[in-house]
Amino acid sequence: MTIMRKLYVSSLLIGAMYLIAGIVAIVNWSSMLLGIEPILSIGYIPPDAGFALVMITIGITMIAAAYFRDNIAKCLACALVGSGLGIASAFIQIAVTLAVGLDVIITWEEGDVLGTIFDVLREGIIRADVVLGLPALVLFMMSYRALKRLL
Amino acid sequence: MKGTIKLALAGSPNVGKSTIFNALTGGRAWVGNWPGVTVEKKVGVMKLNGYKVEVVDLPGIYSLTAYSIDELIARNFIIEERPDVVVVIVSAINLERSLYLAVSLLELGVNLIVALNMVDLAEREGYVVDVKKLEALLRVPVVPTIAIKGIGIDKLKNIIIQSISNPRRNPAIVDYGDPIEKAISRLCSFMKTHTPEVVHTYHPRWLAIKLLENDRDVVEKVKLLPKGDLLINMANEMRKELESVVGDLEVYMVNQRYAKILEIVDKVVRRVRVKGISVSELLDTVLLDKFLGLPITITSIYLMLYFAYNVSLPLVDLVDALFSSLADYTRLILQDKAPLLASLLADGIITGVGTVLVFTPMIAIFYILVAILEDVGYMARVVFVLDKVLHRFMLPGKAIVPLILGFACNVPAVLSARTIEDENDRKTVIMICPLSTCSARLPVYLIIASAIFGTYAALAITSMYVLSIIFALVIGFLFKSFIFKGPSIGFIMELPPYLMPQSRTVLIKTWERTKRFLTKAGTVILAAAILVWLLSITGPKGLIGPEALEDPALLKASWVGAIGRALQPIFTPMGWDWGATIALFFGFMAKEVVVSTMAMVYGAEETSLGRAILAHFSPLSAYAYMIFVLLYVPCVATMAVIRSEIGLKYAVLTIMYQMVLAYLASLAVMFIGMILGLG
Amino acid sequence: MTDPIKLSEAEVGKAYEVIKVEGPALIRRRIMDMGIIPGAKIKVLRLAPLLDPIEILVRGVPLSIRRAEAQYIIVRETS
Repeated sequence: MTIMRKLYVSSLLIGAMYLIAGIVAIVNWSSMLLGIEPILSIGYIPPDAGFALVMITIGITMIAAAYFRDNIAKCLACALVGSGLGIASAFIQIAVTLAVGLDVIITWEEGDVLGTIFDVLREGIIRADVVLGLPALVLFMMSYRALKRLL
Repeated sequence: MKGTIKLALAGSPNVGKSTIFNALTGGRAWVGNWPGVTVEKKVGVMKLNGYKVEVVDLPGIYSLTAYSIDELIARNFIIEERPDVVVVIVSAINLERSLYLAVSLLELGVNLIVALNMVDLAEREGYVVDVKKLEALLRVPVVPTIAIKGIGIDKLKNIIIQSISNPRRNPAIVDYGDPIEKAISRLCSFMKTHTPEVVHTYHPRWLAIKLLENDRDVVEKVKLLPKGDLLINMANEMRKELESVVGDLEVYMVNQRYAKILEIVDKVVRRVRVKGISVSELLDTVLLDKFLGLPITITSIYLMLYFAYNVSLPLVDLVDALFSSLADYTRLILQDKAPLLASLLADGIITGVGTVLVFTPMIAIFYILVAILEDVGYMARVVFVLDKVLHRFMLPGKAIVPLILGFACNVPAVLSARTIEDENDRKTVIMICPLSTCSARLPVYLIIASAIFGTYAALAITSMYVLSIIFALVIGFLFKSFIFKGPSIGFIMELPPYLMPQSRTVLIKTWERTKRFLTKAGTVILAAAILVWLLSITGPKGLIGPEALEDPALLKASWVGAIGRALQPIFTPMGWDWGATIALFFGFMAKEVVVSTMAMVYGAEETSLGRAILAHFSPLSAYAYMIFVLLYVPCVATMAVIRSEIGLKYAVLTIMYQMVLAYLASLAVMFIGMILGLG
Repeated sequence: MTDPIKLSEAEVGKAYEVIKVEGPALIRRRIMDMGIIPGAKIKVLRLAPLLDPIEILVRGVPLSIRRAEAQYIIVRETS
């Protein structure tokens, strides 16, 4: 497989995962608004519209890399921007999780503080946006290397 | 000390002016306003070879016409304050356009130095600029720099020293061709013999050119000078004559300047490599894509808000905890000896200072993010993508930054509206800023929504954010259509190449802006906190004592209670009782205070407040209350910055329209709810 | 020679030459100061996702301009 082909195929696959996570989140969010229990309780996808927005955007941007596979520059740019956003959102989620953990300590009055922190960290870190950050990082390195060769 | 030297720093936006300013002055600057206007003025000091050099940062401008306030400021500063040296920053990747400003400055007759910045980016784009040749053609010193890496700064400083003792001017840089040059010299000799006062203030050649161009600011000023009328009449006659030969004189003059610049650029730019595709162009094909552009922009804004709201959480709670323990401690020590003083310190001053500082971490984080996005060059793209939406509502694209910042706090939002050029646009944006639902309003929504709406709480809160945006746009549209009419300056914005942000520049920017927030908001909130404290412990019958702050029955007898009871009948249609009304009054100080006031008035702890609210509100009256809190007035700090930015009149107008809007909107909620049978 | 059109009606990807700048003095001067004067070359790079403003390349610099202002710039297509 050529480098470009490898790039857009992985971009397509990772993008699809982001897109699915986003769609699950939006479905769960809508059901929550209607006061129904989440319909699709898959793993650690929060029923949150903002999360859905981020995941869907990253997903379609990565998938666009495959759509524009005949235009090397644009294909590369899509993979680069999509994975860049993916890394950014993973990083932001990790930072937010740490901040919330810290906040538990600061506002602690009574109860099992360590247990609460552990729960916060675990739930924060295994969220889909953090987990998918890893393949996004790989995709980013791949596209960055390809970009350097193009310029 | 050899004395003080005045140096002005000029340049267009996106040429690295603030980086060079920081490099020269070490980042320490005194920030104030230009006289009579609220455009920011930055002055720093640089010690150079025994001289004390005062570096004045002129506003970022593209030319020196009289059409925008920024350009007038720069021009008048140079004419009136006569800086000893002017450094103009010219961008190597934008040579034609940034030389236009350099040429305009030369015509003004200043002692000029050109800092040719971003030479590394030009090389990356595949060309080099011949500095020696450029120097020879402009006949002033040219220093190549890469400001973000600090390269060329020392050389620039050396040239500044040389240029203090050996000024270099070249006002006749552009040759306008025979008939015009003749007119210029005739005007000049007329000035020298008949109106020496004029020559004293202005460079004669520049004045002659501006009079021929019919520059409205110059014409008005010359009119006031002795025999100024004569000069103007003479120029007007000449213009009529000349226009019959060359057409519109203004167009002709701009053309001549650009022709000269093109001639220079042709001689100094050497292409060493065929232009390939640049990273910026590559990224823009996605970031500004037909389909992907909009979702990516909205996602970026969302991520920014999400990060700032959540990462600041521990810091906010830390400040909150520190101040409430400080207040408790003060009470503990002073309670018995001087109860009134203890209460003043704990409930007035410490609470007041705490209220300001609680917002600071989130605002600082927001400022860091905004500064990064600005320096990277992405903010301009956000404006480009969302401009249409704002245009629809007759608002400028640049309103997007104040409206986003408003979600953190309205004070920085109002301050950030300074980047909007047009006065009417700026006033409109500032007056709609308080409609952005700031972070202080969120606790109010949270406590009410979770108490009343149960599983629909998230929906109720989200609706506040949606309504906030809708109200801001619609009210902005109404202001632009009925109050701030008149043409808005057609704004053309540059989309600068993406750059890596520099931590130094970002931190300096953040620090300056945060400091401004603290000074602007701090004093006002503190004063308001003390005033509210005073009104709570005294009443129509005299002193009640600090107990009033803990006992609803006593509070009812205070001035605050009296105001609450007087206002309460107005809110009867909404079904809000005395306590809810009082809470709104306290919310003037900062809207999150509504929550703690309710807790106090209803005699509940913050944890049991939910049940108390459930007892005092119906779902409909609670939703109307949320809407009211969203819209009802800017907090005192926001009022104060609105006043200092655009004047008392508009601050009062803002308060009034928001009151009316909030009242009507919550009344409408009740009315519609009743019709739908939700009451 | 093609017919003169308003820049607001220009097509993406094509190159144009400025013939005339019209409009109120304020706006016209603003446009001209950005280097958009008769004889200047303009390339239309793209439309914003919501179709307005448009991004143009003038003197090597990408600029964003609203259609409302672009209509004052009269251009002619060049090859």
